[in-house]
Amino acid sequence: MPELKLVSKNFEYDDQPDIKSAMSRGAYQQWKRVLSEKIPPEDIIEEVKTAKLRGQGGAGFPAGVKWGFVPKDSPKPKYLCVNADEGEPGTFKDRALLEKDPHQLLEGIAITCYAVGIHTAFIYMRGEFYEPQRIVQDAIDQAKKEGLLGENISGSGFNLEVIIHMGAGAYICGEETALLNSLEGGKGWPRLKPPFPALVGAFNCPTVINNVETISGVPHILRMGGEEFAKIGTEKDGGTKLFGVSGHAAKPGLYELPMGTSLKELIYDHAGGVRDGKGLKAVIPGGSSTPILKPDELDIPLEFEAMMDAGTMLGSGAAVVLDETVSIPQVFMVMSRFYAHESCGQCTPCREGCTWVYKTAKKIAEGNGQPSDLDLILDIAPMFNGTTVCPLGAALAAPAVAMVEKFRDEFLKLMKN
Amino acid sequence: MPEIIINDQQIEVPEGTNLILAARKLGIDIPHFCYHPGLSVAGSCRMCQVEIEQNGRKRIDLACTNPAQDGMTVKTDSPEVKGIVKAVLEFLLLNHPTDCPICDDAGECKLQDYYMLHGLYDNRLNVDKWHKPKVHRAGPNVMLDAERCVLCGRCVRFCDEIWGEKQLGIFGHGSDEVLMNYPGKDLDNPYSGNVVDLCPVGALLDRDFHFQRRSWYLKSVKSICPSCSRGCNTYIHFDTDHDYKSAGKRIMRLKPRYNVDVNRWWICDRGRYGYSSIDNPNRALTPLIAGGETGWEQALTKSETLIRSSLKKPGPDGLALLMAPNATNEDVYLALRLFRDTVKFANLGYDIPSMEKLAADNILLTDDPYPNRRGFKDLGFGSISNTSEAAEIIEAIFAGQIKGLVVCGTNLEGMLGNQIDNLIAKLDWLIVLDTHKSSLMDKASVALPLALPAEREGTFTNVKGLVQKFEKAVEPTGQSLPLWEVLQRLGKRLNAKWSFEETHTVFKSLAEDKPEYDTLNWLATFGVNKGLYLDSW
Repeated sequence: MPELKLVSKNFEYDDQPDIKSAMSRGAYQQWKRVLSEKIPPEDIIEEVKTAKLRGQGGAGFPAGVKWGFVPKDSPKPKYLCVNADEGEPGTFKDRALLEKDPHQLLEGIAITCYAVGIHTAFIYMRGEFYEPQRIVQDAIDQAKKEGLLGENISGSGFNLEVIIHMGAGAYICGEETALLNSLEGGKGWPRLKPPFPALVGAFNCPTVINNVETISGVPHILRMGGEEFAKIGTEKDGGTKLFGVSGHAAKPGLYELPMGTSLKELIYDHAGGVRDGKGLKAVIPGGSSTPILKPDELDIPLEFEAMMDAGTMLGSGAAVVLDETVSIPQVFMVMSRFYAHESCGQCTPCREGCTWVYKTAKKIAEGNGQPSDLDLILDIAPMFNGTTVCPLGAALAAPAVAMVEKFRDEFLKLMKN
Repeated sequence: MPEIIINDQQIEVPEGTNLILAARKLGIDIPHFCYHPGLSVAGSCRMCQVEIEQNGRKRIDLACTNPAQDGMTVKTDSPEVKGIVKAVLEFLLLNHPTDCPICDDAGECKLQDYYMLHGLYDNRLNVDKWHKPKVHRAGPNVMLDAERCVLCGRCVRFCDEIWGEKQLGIFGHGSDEVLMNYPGKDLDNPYSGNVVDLCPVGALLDRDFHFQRRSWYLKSVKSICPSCSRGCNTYIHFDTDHDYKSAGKRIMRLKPRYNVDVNRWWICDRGRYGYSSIDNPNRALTPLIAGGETGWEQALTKSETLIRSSLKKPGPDGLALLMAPNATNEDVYLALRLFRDTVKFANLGYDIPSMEKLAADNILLTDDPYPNRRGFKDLGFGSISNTSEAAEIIEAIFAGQIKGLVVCGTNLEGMLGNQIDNLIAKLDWLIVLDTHKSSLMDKASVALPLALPAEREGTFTNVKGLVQKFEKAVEPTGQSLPLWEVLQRLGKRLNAKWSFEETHTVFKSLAEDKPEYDTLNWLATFGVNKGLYLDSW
């Protein structure tokens, strides 16, 4: 399928962060229409449900359904948290959305808040995002000046404050409840669910948490109508998704494609295959937390269910291309080091399991491993998959099993006997 | 009330009861580290996973976070659950130093117990173990071995939630995580010792118990803390069989005993570490006459003579008894029967102004350092004519109106300072009964050594009026005796018409006179463990 640009439509214009230029290309039109036509909030939620917009952060939970869980008559304030803590190795789509089209995000925030009845929105931004923070803060200030955010927006009586909160660099703070703890000033430890954030979230108030890309898609749903948006994608996954290709691809970069485009097409037709005419060894399809695929496994539609069926995950849509020169045991060691380091340490299986796997992987990569170490990894990985507070354990366990099972020969070659 | 089935046994539990508590009601122990009924639910150790079948769907979930709901079927022993419990245990033990032979907690350690019950796997560790601070002073009473810590966070939550100040925290992330003091904070809250009880392993340890005794040598009796008027329920842990290193020290430590009406799971450090006064070189060991050691017979004969002589002159109006409210109800009862009803002293006082007002808080500590003021009040301590206050009696002595004085456990020296000699000079005689040596005992006409609560049985009535029994842990030090027994012997000499052989017959007689106190079944343990909860978590 050819590229279909919705959220990345205006990435090519350098002046897009400037509100005047952005508005000349249609920014805030839907927001203005919502206010002037006084569209009932329920209608917007219904439209987003119809559009089959799914959470683009990795879990793929339908956005409209999530918004619907927030109690309408809560006596407490409600909050929106935009998850801009993009930390998944391989992923770089949110950064582009923040830097290249901040007004699209702000318009999405405004419409979402209006639909759910929220007057304070937080953008929880990864600590390293200095540049995006500057650009988005600029955009917020401009939008306030134009009367599109702030108090009594366009005389509608609707107030909306948008606040950027910078994280401190922990991967786990991208997990929605760890994000909430961090936002509140606490240690980034995931919370037990239930209660879900839609009922008890930031500061114990009902809270919607969505990824940058999810929220950025909202204005397009209103522009096109939910049904049209849904038609772009597959039966369950509406619209497009930004796929980031990195690694040894000939043309690495961001590609916005309709949901359901095949992974093979993304790698070969859009990203130009493997660079320098080398052979392909493997693809990590959706960020480092997703199980690795061999070259003969790439003919899968990029949608949440189909990827699950194929034993991997769509994740954040960040495909990492690994050519034939790559050592998988090395990749495995680096990856498990990441998860061992980023495990928050709250619950036992992930805290101990990730480090155990990393230390074993290191031993193997350094040539000191034994075949029994591979069996040990296959044995212990399921022990911290699904037994933990949050999915971080699973994010190492599943890829670890896939790598060891699919590339066992390569691991064995590193062993002395 | 929801009805559920756990391992094929049906049970009905109150709304909101979680599965750990529900299972415990059936005598099924769901293994857990981070869960404690007195603290918020953390759900972080992941040990208590069970299989829950509800509305036709099966899931593996935590027992601590799931309240029992009607129609739930829970399995704690399915192969999958057993596998997970074993896996979590293996993770917890992975980096544990397994230095059980030198760990004070050995024998009372959840890791040990659970390994024997649910683990029993072969070690698969193929990499180095971590190293963390091994000997760290967490506070004045508690030391930390961070290597042994399983990071359950109970101690952290105790400081946050019960005491209300962050003094401990879990720092770092991943497996480098370590339990440590909050920067600049000492674990010095007045309840700090409770973190040692909460710690499921040997990470947090009593500094006074460190390397003192293997836990399996300890014997235990149920007791009541005498350190303030709250009447917290305790266990006295003692060992009289292994005297090889503690030079006569018999009482090894005190532990809280669960009582929902009084202290729940906690006791304060003042009470917990106050036992050093028991096996103390300063204890009064023998009766004294004018400062010279003697036997009970001689001392009691002397006392009898003094009292009898004064009954004629100056007569009962010129005689007084001062008793500190740390005597038991049985002591009070016999003191009244002797001094009020038999020899009819006109001046009986107990309302000693506290030397030391404690810093009360809204957790347990009261401001009254005496354990039985309420019992004195309830039993109507005082003479027939009037209830005298201690201060009035002392004034009357200085005024020359009182010539004979019996003092029980009162810190008169502390009260009067260097006036004490002037007071003694005003008296014809002074009889002192006390647990510890003092210059007052040396100066007294007769001094009689008393046993401490740990060395006898008896009852105290706490600040809220709850009558609670404590048991005897060890024999009285030296020749000391329980106060009621001294009063019994003295009473016999002074022609009292009553006679008691044992503490519980004193209490029985007391309860006949005072029906409100008849709630106590002496033979049963009381300060009862009620309802669902047991002591050990």
